[in-house]
Amino acid sequence: MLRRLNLDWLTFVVVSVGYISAYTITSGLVMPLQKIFKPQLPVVFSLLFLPHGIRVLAVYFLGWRGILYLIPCSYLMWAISVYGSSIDLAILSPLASLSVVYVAVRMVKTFTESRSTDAFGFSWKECLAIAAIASVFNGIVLSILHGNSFNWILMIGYSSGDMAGQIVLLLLLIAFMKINRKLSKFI
Amino acid sequence: MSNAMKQLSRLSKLIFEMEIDLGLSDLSQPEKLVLMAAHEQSDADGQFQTHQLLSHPLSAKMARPTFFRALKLLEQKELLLRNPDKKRGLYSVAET
Repeated sequence: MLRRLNLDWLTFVVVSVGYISAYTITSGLVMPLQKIFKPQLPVVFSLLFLPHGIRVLAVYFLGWRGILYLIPCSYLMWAISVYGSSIDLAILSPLASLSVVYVAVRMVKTFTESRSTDAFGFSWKECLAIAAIASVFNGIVLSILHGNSFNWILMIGYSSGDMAGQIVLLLLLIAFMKINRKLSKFI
Repeated sequence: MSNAMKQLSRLSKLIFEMEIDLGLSDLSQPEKLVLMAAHEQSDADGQFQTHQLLSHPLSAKMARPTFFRALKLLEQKELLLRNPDKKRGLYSVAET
């Protein structure tokens, strides 16, 4: 089955570890700080949602397979949030968040493919454009799923948290790779 | 190379380009241009030849001594690797 879909275990492990790590940092560090400094904000969204960055990178590089790789860990973290932290999240929210990223990737790729001269085919600017579009779609969908009607505050909260999460994740990856390069000189 | 390693290599390339574009790397301008040209000209195995860089728009207008000095510095910083078989002018882009 996995071979037929061209999926492999190593990619699944890398994507899952990335997503779970990002979610753990968000819920274990960002959310407590948000509760201290911005207690008036709803607990259903984070002002810095790092897992959105992992979703965008996974679907950007792996296409629709990225969604399949992310479904198990997305639902695992959803279950922990709902039953562990008592945050009221709709059951369809992980699937909806993954789907909007795929839609954003297809939109940006369709727009850039005809005019792209880059043989590499991936760029951080394109990645940020996808993250921005996906964060707006995600904000709209999640605000509807959360309250059964469109809510501007929730939509802006979700969108800004997702976008900030993508930018900070890329900056963290730059820092990680700089440290890795420096350390590799001593080994 | 497995699919996971190939995708991680692409991701590291993207991150490295972002680092250079945002001016977060500690490379000089000629080094940045040569490295960007090397990334663009390298094949699937990350290999390229110096004459490909000399004709690349990013580094074509650079003075020859500046170009070769930048190439040497990038090699010293282990961002570009000279071909181990000592084939003249053959380099590869290091995994960043």
